[in-house]
Amino acid sequence: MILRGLWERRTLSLIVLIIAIIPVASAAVGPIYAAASRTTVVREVLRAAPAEARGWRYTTSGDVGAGVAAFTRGVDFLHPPVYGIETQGLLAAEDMNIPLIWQEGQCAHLRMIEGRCPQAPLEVIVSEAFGDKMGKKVTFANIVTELGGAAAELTVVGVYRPISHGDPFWFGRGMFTTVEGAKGDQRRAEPFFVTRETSSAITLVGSKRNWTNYAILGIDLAKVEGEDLETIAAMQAGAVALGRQTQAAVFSRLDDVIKTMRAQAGTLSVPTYVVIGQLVALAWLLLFQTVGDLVRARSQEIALARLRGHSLARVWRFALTEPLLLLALAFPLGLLAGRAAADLMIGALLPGVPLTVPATAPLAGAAALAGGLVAAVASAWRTARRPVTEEWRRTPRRTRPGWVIDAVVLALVGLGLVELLTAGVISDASGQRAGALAVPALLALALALLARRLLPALVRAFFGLTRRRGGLGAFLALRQVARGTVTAGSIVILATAFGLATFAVCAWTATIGNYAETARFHLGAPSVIEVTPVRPHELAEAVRKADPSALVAAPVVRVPGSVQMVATDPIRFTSVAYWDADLAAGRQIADATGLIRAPAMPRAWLTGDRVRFTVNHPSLRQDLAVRLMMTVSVPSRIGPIVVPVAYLTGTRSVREWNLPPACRTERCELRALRGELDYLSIAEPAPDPTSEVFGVTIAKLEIRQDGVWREVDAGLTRSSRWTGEGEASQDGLRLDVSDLTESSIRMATFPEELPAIVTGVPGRSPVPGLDGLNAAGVKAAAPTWAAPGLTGTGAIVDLEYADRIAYGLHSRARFEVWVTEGQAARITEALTAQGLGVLSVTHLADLQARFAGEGPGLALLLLLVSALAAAVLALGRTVLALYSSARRRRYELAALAASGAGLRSLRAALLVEQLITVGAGMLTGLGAGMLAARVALERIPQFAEPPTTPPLPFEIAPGPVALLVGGGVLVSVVAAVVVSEVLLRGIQVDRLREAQA
Amino acid sequence: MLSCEDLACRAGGREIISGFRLEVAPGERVALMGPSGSGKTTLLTTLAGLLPPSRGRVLVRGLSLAERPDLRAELALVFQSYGLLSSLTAAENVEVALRAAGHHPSEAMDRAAVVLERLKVSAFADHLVEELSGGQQQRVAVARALALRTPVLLADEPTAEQDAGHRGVVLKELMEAGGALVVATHDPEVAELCDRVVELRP
Amino acid sequence: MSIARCEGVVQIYRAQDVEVVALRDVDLVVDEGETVALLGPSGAGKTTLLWLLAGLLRPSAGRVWINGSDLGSLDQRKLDRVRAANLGVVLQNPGRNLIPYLTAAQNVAFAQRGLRRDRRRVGDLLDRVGLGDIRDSPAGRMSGGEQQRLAVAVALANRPRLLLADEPTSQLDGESGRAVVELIRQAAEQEGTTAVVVTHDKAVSDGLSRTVTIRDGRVGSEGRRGENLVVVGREGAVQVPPEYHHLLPPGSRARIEPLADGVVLRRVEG
Repeated sequence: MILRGLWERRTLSLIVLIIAIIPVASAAVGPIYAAASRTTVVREVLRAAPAEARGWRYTTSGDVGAGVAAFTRGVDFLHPPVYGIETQGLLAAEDMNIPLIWQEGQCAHLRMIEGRCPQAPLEVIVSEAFGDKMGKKVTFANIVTELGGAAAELTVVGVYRPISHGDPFWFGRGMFTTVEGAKGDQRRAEPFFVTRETSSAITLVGSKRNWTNYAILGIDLAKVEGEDLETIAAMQAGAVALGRQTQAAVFSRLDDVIKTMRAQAGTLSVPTYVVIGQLVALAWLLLFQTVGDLVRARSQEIALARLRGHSLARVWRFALTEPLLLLALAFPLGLLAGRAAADLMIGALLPGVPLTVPATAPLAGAAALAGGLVAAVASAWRTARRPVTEEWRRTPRRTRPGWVIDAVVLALVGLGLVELLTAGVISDASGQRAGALAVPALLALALALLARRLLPALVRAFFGLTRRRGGLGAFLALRQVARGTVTAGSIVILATAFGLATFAVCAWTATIGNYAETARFHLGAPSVIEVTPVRPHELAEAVRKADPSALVAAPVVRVPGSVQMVATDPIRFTSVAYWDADLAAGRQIADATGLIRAPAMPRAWLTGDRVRFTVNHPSLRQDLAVRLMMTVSVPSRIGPIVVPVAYLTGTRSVREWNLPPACRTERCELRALRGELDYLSIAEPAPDPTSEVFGVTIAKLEIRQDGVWREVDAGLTRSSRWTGEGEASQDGLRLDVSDLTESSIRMATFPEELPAIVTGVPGRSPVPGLDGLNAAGVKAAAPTWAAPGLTGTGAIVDLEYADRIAYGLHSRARFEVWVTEGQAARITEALTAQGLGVLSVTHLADLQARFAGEGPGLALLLLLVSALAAAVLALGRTVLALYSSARRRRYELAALAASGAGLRSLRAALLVEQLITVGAGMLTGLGAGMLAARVALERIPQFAEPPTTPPLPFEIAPGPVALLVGGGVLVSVVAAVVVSEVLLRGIQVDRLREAQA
Repeated sequence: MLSCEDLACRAGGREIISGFRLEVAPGERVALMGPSGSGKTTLLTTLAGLLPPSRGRVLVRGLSLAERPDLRAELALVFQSYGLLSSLTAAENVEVALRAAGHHPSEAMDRAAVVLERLKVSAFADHLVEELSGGQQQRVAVARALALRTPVLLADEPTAEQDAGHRGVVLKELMEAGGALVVATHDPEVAELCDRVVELRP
Repeated sequence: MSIARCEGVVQIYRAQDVEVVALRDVDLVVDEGETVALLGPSGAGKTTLLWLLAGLLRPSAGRVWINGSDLGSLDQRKLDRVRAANLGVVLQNPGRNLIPYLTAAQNVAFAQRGLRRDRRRVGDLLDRVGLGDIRDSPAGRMSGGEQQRLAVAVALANRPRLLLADEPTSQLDGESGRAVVELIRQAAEQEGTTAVVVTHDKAVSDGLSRTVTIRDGRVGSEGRRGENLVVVGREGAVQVPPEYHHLLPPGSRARIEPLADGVVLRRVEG
């Protein structure tokens, strides 16, 4: 009998089923989408991580296979282990320790410039730094053929060049030199590759007797999933413990990565669930209305059951069975639908991510269904409790919507809004903002409740007008809207759904705009090519060769720190970098970069093996001597190198000293000179410090290179070139040495404070400098709210200045070439042709995509998609309800037609009724959404780590909003027209056949 | 005024009326009697031109109703289930019918007030129809038909819900409406007031 | 033993802003096996009285007993049980008594509460109302008359002690109507089913053993074996039947002259 009843009311049953499936599906989508998003987060973070943070390198001198097997037990997201062995060989001739490596499959990752890959034991291949050894034999001081035997001879059978420096195969150990074919550079100890059998063919002597076995365990980005995050963390913890407990050591830079992944996953969950919660609540509303309709449709039968005296239990069972059956059916169907929907969404939004259904999905679906249960029970209660005689009144009395419920809901909404927008219920930083995502639904609900009271009153105001004149259509429509039963519910559901949708669109467009703006400034230029570290002047030279026009590419060195530093060529920077004059108090980029340019200035280069100073000084007391020291910067060494060059006694001295060995082939630079007073006598009680000042004049400075002495132009006679405790005059550079003060004088190649384009307020903090020594202060020549390349407080300085200040290059410095739109490929090619190693190319779109792929971005995307779906649903349900209501009135409308009302009037009546109802709902929703946007937009979570600069524009693009509204209007109008036509066909006069039951 | 010959009507899949003939002169009042299920409602609806007959023709003033649908304006029908618009007040229901028939809104308002007064429901003129009792609704339905002042009035059980007092009022208004009247009824009292009785046999 | 009893029943309900008194001070006793026709003009309160007897309404004042149980003292559950055990109700519009998508036989079975579905009785009842050959057609498709007969059969399905019927023959022609009346009488004779039938069909009232006329919310007159007697209500109220209104019009004054066994009312002119 139940089935017959369902069939009898099959349309309504079907609608209930569909509308019950929706909350289950949406609730199920949430956890599935969240799981997929977590996977995306994990994969993206890993993808962006350096190679040595994408897995582990397990090293041991024992059995590596067993160790790896134990370490990776039960883990399925790793690439198969790449085994290798390694040791150090001492090349006596060059006095260098060379790594000797065999790694499984090494030849595929090396390009042979000459010769071939090693195949037999005792064969090696070398890097280009050792290219001269091609074909020859090499020996190592610590490698012998057998214990007590002669030195082993290994034949060089090939010269290799690594195919890619960032290849995860090498686990990022920086084994290879950065500038290929660098001449004059001290040879980097790049590895020699051998075959595996070589290890058994030779014997190691000395301190290291064993080869190290290692295995590289890379995380397979195609297999790793969100739920593996904890496994990775556990493995990392285990790795650390292993190192302490066994002789195995596991290397990885995963700690940072894990932290980032956790943070991002954290910023994902809360917003996602807030979004899903709203969707489910909306679906509950829908379900409430529709299940209520279903139970009410059976009210006659329920009344009969009560009349016949069936027990209350039986009556309840009678009332509830149909809806419960439909709900029970909706559960599995809803889960399937949710899975399918999630599949679609993930396919479109997170390509490549697999679909997993976590256990929370069915739970969420069941929770959503609970709403339908509540609705069924509530409706059944009301129907079962209503006096039976009400059922048989000719036209049942309508109940007025209760004031109490409205007041309670409004109060709750108001409270909720106040909490969310001021203090914040969830105190955690990201959580508080996530709560802002709930604002639109609350606001829309509140406004909807108000609107459903206001609309009838508003419409009633026009009663008089339509009564006195105009067509029948408006007359009928207005009264139906004001007095009908469908209006209130429709307005609530439409307004809420549309409010959510409007907000979602606003939020999405504003967020996309924010992402674009942030990406612009964080990246700095349309495309950024990261290259392997080189000397700044080499970088500048390479860029100059690649782009002679100076309009397309700019060299940039970025150094992170509490005050970030971007060092660049100001002229090229002007053409390439993003800039917003409005953020810089109206100053254009050309003006700004003009202010930071370093004037050309000669520098004192020292290349050679020995230095000679000719110093004039007054006669020194017998017990005093002056120690003269020279500060030089030595390439490839970080920090100033102080060379004691002279020990002055008597009057005139000519002193010589050795320069650091690197200066023989590289350009060292004379930076500063210092003098110290020294007391010669020791035995006596220390004499009182003298306040005498001795002027030490350096007359000449010479360098010996290749045996030839040459004078160095150090500007000894030019006062503009030196600054400090002394002065240059025509006699030379005078240094005032005294006991009391520090007497130093430096080459004035740079000012104390570099002029810079500055964001934030660096205050007294120095920028890190290219050497990371925090030696350079900055002066805000061009302050701005946002500057290209700076993600926080920082300064943009001239690369020339930065180079002049720096002593060496810090490993955290990033070397980049910024290029204009569309030029990345060309410039990259030009750079690689010159020998620069290109690590990566990042485009603006990549960074934007990365933001959009973070937790909050994904949650917002989910909001957008689901809110739009909800709006469509609400519209559908409303149209359906209007249709059903009109259908029930078929008989009386036919009677009206019989009285002479033309089809035109009836059509107008139906159309206007629908358009007013739908229009009012949509308009309220639109208003609510925009109000919510105004109020809450700036608080919703958008970034996993909110940027401190640039200031986010929060611009809502009018286009998509107009599209939403226009689309809604179009669909409503079309639906209204179609429904009216269908209804009119039904209101043919032969409906009069049926007597109203 | 209104006539038909060899009229047949189908309802619910079978021929419920067959071979019916009727001639109503202007101002003549005819009672149509017969038990329920004999097809009175279907017959009246067909005579009103709202249902097509399966055989035969309905003629108004000698012209075929099927060919001249505009002649429907000469007929008004009081439905058995009243057919009032539930979302309108009593007065609005009458006004709507008048306006649908082409009257000016202010004239409709005036006429509606008058006829509602005559049917003793003017106290409820501004109440929604669903708030009225069955009898009151029926009187509104009658008022609606009467207000149109058509030459032919067809009424389907117009006094079924009325108590003694009001029944007289309704009958008085129907009988004194002036035009031709065809009233379907069980009630012998009604039949007595009419000029002629036609018996329907199932 | 009285099956149904009303004492001082008053029923008032609100319609818009007005209070309507549907029944005022109704006293009624129905004995077992009686068949009572409730007559009276429309709106006089007949249906209201029927619903009160069925326990579907609670009286504004006064008490109602069904089979010795005071309905006013029962909670909802007990009320349902009383109704289940004792009553069979036929509602005015035949369609309302039936579930349209079930067949005739299923409808009767639905009215049979409890697990005992007495198939034989179903068939028997349907035959007695003349619906035996369409027992498997859906109730919604039947004609008005067939539905009404089915409604009566449904009400009798559980062998109720009291049958309450509201206009059970309104849609029927003479022959079917007589069949229904006959069914009610047979049920009264063979199974002791008491019947209270609201009707304005003379054929029905003639076929039942007693008539009670409700006028203006009061029991105006009763009739047994063809004779119609005026009932003197509380406070001595007497309703003059309509056929005598021309002799003693409502609103006129009359002088009372006492007799040994009653009074005479003489119209006073002026």
